[in-house]
Amino acid sequence: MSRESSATAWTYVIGVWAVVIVLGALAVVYEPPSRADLLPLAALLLLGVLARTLPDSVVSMSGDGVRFSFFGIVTLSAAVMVGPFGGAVVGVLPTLLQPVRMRAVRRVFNAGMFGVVGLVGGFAYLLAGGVDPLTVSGTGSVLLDIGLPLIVADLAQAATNALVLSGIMTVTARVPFWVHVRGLIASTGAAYIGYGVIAFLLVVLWGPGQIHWFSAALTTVPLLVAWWVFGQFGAELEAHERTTDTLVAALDVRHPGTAGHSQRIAILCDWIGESLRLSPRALTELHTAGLLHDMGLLAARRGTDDEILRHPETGVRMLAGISFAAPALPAIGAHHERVDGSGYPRGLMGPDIPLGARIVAVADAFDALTSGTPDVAALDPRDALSQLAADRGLDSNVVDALARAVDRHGVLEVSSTEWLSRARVGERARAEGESARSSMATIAAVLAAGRSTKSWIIRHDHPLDRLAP
Amino acid sequence: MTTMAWLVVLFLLIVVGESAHVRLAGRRGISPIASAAAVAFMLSLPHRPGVSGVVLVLGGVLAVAVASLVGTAIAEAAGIRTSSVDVLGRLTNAVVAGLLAQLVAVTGLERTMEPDGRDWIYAFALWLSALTAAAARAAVVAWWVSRSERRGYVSTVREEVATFGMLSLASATTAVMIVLSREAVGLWGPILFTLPLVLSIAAARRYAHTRQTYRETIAALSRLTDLAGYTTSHHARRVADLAVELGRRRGLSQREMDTLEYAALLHDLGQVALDQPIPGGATVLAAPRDQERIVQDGVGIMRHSGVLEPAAALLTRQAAPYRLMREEDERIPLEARIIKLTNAFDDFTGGSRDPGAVSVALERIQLGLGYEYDPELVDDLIDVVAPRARQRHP
Repeated sequence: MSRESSATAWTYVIGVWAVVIVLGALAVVYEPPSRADLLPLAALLLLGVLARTLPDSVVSMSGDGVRFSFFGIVTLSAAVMVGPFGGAVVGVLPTLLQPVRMRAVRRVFNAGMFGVVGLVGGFAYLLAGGVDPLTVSGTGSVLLDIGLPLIVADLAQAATNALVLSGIMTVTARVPFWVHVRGLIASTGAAYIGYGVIAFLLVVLWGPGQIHWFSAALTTVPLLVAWWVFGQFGAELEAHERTTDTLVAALDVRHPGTAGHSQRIAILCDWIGESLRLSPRALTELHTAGLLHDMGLLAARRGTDDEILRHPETGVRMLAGISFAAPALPAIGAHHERVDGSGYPRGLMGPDIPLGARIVAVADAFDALTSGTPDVAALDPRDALSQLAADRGLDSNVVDALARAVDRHGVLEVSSTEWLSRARVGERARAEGESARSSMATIAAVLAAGRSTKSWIIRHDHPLDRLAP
Repeated sequence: MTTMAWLVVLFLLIVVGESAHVRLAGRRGISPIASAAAVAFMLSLPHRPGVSGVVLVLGGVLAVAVASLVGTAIAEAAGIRTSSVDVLGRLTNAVVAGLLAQLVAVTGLERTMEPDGRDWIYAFALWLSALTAAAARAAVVAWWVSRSERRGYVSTVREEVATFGMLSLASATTAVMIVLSREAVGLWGPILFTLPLVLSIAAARRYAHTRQTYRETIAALSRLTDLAGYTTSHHARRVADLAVELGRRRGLSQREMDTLEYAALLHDLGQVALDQPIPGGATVLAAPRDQERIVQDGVGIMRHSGVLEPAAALLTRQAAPYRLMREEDERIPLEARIIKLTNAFDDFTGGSRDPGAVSVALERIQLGLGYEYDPELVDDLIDVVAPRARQRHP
């Protein structure tokens, strides 16, 4: 991106830091840190550095990921234990020191944002009547004088996080501010509930529980375990997704060139599905159907036309037993059926053909026309679309949806070799990425989603990634 | 709040926690919440002069056993499969934690609730007790598993710790936090402090589910060559089952067995690149150069995934004859030798377990003994597929 938008980003970051400085000065004046705050501050700083040093556990599907980090818990605990100033220190320092390579603008922005979040949390706690946890005892008092104000501080931090992040997205990506705020609150709201609960546990054992710094040590253990389990989960998911790619790679060895075709069909299916406003679950099934629609061709050898005619059914048999592929099987088995009844293998008509199959058929035909063959030149997308519109075997609603999608997305280019080398590159890109919203539990969203492993795609890209280095 | 009410709440948490069961590695599971509640129960037993600590611990363990049985019955009635080894482990956990807590009390360490922060020493002692109890649990469970599955003790301990160690650690720590929260939040403690554990359990369940679908995908990959007409039906599955059996006899760890299984399942994948199938899909009958090519194509496909690398590395050596190891001192991994042998056996029998076919196959393998195949593995194979033949020719 241009130098201009980079300058805009810096201007915004400086604005964020101005807020940090003003609120920080207020904090020092009205709630000056005392010597008693030193121990909690040191312990939480240590915990913050740990949270920032461990790589986030990433659970990702197709490049979209959910991350697990417990930094939010640390800033909230600090805001409650040490006050606004302590919250800011714990938010800023570990973020600045984070041992991850990232661009300066992003590091400074993240630090500033967590500074504001810490300060706002600390003030919210005090304004809601929160008291120094070390002076509280008795269950009723613990819940009223620590618990409730802590919830208020938690909500304030969630809102601050959403507003500051949406701000940078608006100035760098020019997307309407409130759209972002709503999206962020929806995707991170559950995470902040988790932060609140765990920060409360830490504070309760520290103050009313009287075990002081050892509380931070104990609370960290289940968190580290959760972080580790999520890492395992993410790795297994990654392994699984990659293995699905292996199916496509096997077909490409048999019939070179099919990997790129499969990948393009999968993407076209995504586009059409989005245009038709399908549910996330249906989109996932459709993507699988697009990617694996030609698996049956693995059984086809040169000069065996009947095998080619049977390939939709052979594909279904090959994929039977893979639970994530099961919902996609009807679409795979019927992707050569035509709405006018001229297709194969069963000659189904109109609505008897599953929607997924009609979509794959359109995507398949579009890709064939725009890619061309050794004998036929490739068509321009416009011409291909008008040819599809004239084809009575294709569902005209789906063709219209494709036309809208092509208008929006432009031309799609994925070749087989490109796709086959994608695996490792994608992995690296993902490992380097870091989300300011690193949320311990967008996880809650993951866990709430159904059993389908592919249905919880949550976008977590950072707006500053889109700027040029 | 009385000690009695507190113990009753923990008792109920054991009962309910049993249903939050995590089944990992396909076979065994663990109920981390029930474990945490059981340890918290044992750590909360009141120490009174005049009452023998041992009697107290025995009574506590009895209560934990009853709670576990009730919890198991409820879980099973609700259709949740639990695991009896886990209950055995929990009782071990309870005994050791209870005894150590009594020991802590005898040394005079106690909860003071003084604001001087010195209570961390008491907290630390409880935590050590819970961790020791968790270690004892792993030792006993591994002993039981190694006995019932006839496997080496050390590899079973390693596997137990690798699979359940982290969840046990979280469980032990949660137990201590519950006990320490008692004075501050009372009965809220057992609910609030199990929440982080719930998170881990949910993630672990997801992990187990994903692992299952991952295995399904590999199984589907292994069937591709069957359905495309290159190999005989279920050849790869039979080779994998036999290979895993031989691997188990050699004391491979779970991770090594997984790799062996995946490699065995996918060893013929490279045949999809052939334009004409080999008769019967039997690579053992193919020319060595063709065998190598099939291997290379299969390995190439697997390497696209980037995650099947260990299995792919094994497969690069699957066609290597044993003599290279003997004569030229090359290292051929045990797993690769196992796959070579079990693949040959299944190709020779065509999948039949008919005694006639088995003995013909074994004879043909004997011809290549020491040259093509590892003699010790061949002995194991005979033990598995024709135990009586082995008795006749000792």
